[in-house]
Amino acid sequence: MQAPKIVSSWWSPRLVILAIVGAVAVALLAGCGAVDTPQTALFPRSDNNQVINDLFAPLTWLAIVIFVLVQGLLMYSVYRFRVRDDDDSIPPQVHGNTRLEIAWTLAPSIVVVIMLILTYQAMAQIEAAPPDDALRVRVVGHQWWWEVHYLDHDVVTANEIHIPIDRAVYFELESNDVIHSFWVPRLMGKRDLMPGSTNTIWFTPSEEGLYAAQCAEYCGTAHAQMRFHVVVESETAFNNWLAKQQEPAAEMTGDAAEGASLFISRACVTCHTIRGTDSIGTIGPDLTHVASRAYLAGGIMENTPANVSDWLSDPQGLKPGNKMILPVELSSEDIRLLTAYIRALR
Amino acid sequence: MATVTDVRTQERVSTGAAIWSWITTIDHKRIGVLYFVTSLIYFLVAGFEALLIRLQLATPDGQILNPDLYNQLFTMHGTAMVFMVAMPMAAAFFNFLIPLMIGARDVAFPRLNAFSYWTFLGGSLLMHSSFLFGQAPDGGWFGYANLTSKEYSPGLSIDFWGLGLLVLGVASVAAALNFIITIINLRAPGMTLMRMPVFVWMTFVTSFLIIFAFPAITAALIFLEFDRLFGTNFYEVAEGGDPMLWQHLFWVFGHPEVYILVLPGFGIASEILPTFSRKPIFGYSAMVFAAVAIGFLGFSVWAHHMFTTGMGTIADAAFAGSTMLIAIPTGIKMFNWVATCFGGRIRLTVPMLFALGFLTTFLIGGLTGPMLAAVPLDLHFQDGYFVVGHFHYVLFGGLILALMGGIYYWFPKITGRMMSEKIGKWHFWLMFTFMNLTFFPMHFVGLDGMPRRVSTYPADMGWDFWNMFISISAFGIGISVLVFLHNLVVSYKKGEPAGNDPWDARTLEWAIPSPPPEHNFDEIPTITHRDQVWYDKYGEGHGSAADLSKVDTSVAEHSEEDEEHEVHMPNPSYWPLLVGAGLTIAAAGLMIHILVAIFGVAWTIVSIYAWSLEPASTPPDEH
Repeated sequence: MQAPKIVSSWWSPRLVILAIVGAVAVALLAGCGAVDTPQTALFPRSDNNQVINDLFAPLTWLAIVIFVLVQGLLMYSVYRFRVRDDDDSIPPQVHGNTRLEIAWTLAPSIVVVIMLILTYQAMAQIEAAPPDDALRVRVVGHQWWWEVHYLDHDVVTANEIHIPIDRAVYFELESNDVIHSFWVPRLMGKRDLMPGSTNTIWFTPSEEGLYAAQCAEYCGTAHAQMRFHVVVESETAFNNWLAKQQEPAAEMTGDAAEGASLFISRACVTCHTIRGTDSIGTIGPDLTHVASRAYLAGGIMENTPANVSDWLSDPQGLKPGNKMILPVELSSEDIRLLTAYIRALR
Repeated sequence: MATVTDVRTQERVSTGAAIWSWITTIDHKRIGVLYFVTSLIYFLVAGFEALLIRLQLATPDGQILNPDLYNQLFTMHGTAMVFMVAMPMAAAFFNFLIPLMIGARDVAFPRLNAFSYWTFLGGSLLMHSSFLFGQAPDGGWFGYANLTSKEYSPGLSIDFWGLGLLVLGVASVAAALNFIITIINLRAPGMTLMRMPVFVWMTFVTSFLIIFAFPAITAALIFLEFDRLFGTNFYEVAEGGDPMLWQHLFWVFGHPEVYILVLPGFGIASEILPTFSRKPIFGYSAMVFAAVAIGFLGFSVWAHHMFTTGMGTIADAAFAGSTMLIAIPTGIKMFNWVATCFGGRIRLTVPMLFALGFLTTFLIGGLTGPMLAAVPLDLHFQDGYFVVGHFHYVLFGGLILALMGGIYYWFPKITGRMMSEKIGKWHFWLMFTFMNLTFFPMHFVGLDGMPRRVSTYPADMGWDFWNMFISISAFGIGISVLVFLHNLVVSYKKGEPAGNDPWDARTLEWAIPSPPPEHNFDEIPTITHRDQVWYDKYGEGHGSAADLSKVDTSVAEHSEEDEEHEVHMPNPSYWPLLVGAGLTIAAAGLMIHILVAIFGVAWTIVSIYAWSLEPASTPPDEH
């Protein structure tokens, strides 16, 4: 019964911790204001993602309210019934109370029913069949990049998906190797790309923009660098882009033409396709219009001449584990010419 | 009564003899200590791995770890924390406490108990030895097929993982059987099932969960290793295999596993809260049945880990419903814990602080759970940091805090010395604060779109601030663990003598000396009430007028006059260790050469024969 003493000097742990928490709170206020999060799931830019967001709010508030009630009751009990060291009295030995226990069996049951109704309502909307006029896009996951097919338009591209605003887009998701997961947080929740079967997901984007996205299922060494982008644009801009993508690669002149012949004579040709040339490899991304894309190498860096030449000089350093393994290092002159060629593949 | 000599003076006989006595021990208390020390070491290892992970993620484009090493570290952090920290730490409590709490001299099968420990040690060493070869497992703790196939994971890393887990599974199932049989058969006279301490009930339910859940992962792992070693096609897509098979089998194990991990925490909190509120647990039978309900429901929810795999609307809806149902028994438990405190005489000792911290953080983890069960939300949360935040609240908040409370609570019983309350308060407040500062912001980065298991992230995603914040806080947890270790060492050496019953507690283990004698009870007690020791001290105790003259703190003290009651204890044996070693060699052999595996199997069979021919206890005529 020698109840251990409660530490009460000025530097007690509780006070120190309070100080830490206070400092943290200040830091948070300072940190929160200036944050820009391009990949957030919280500000939806599609109809179906809005449905998800509309479910998030009530469930979160429900959780917060329950937390405050239960935690409040707990803190109240601890505060109200804590004892001083010299109090040796025995409280009434209450073993239970049937009415109370029935009450707090019913309370969570009611909450669960409410949550389920809200959940099923949202599911009914997002898992409904897509509209007939939806744009059909097939995405095939590779370690560690994305192959993109526009099924009704004979267009193949990679790592950057263009879609028109206000038109439903219906994705058919497949994998070439292991499981990946397709996640554009501002446009929709994720769906896995399963080897051996086809998954689907659809939504209708509601605002133009460039949306950051990435693979969400651990898929090996470079999983963190398996990124991509979705461009939501006007109907006109999308149709222009589509027309451009359908063309074969442009005729090259100058450095770019020299780069084009290097591309064929070096190992590049074994993995990459450039339509309109002899390059028909399928291991890496289709590069026919690579210069039209905003990002490089599975969405990990901006598509600038400097980045192209950095990538060509050290692909394994920039994206360890990726499948672009150069049999011989490229000379700086080779890199200059190849860069010129790649930048000309508009 | 307050002597602190037993265990340690025996040890000082000679180092060799002391080590030999630990190797051959079949005493449940010593095996409990072995489990505790081993799991504590793995806790430090896996915690260190977590800190390396946080160093890498502290800044965007981190350069501290390369992606392969990062992937190994998060795989081993998760695997070790589940299989080599949480489960064996719980097993340490089961081992030490269950016989004491039910009034038994040992578990039903003491040598099987030793076998469980040594097999656990063998399996965990086998898996960790992969670091020596630079081939640590890197498929994630969930090891999703077909990334784990020979094609996508050449080398031995996945074999270390799969074979190590298979060996660990044998240890877990053997221990679970042992506890079930112990609890059914060895309860003291009068201890009906509904008079058992809640902790014993939680052990009972947990053990059943282990027995039903482990066959699923065992089958999954055997398929995996057959694919890898012998070229079968269970998960090979090109040959008609299906990676979804792995996911179903893994999560049929994996979700009950969550309750395997957390129910022991429930049990510990259910012992600490009544003691320091000086009230019995509120709604005992509701607590028991809620745990049983959680156990049953736990087997019907596995596919909520698979909402993004495209199972279809009907399956998604069904598993969302079954998952949310678990909130009901869990809510009942939460309310009963709060009601246990209400109206009590609450002493804010360190164990009580940890138990209250457990309630708080588990409540948060419990409330984000149903959010994850809401399928549309899960499409965002799945495989993101929101989930990482959620399950660390459940496992760090729900389990580690409860285990810490349990350590402070039973340390006096185990060692005979009190742990320092002063250092303990520092430990609690540091750990509780930094735990929240580490894991709560993970919800934010998760909502901001950060996936889990990424070795790096770009600078312009708006995640920099919180990641740095989380990393700094994680090191705060590290400091709190150092404070804890310091307290353990200092208190072990110089702690105040504890006496039999330092907390004025309620259950049987507090009636015998601290540390308990090898045979626990000189005379097996007779049970007439739940919370027998409290009843012996205070009677029914309705109202505050305790009749202190009735206090009878020591069932064991009856025994002075009963010296001629002979206590037959089983003999020490090294065969359990050798069987465990044989299994480990057989598993390792599959990676080295088939002949080594056959040798390991032969070793195991010979050891089992020697074990079964060895007399379990010295025949009475040799006394």
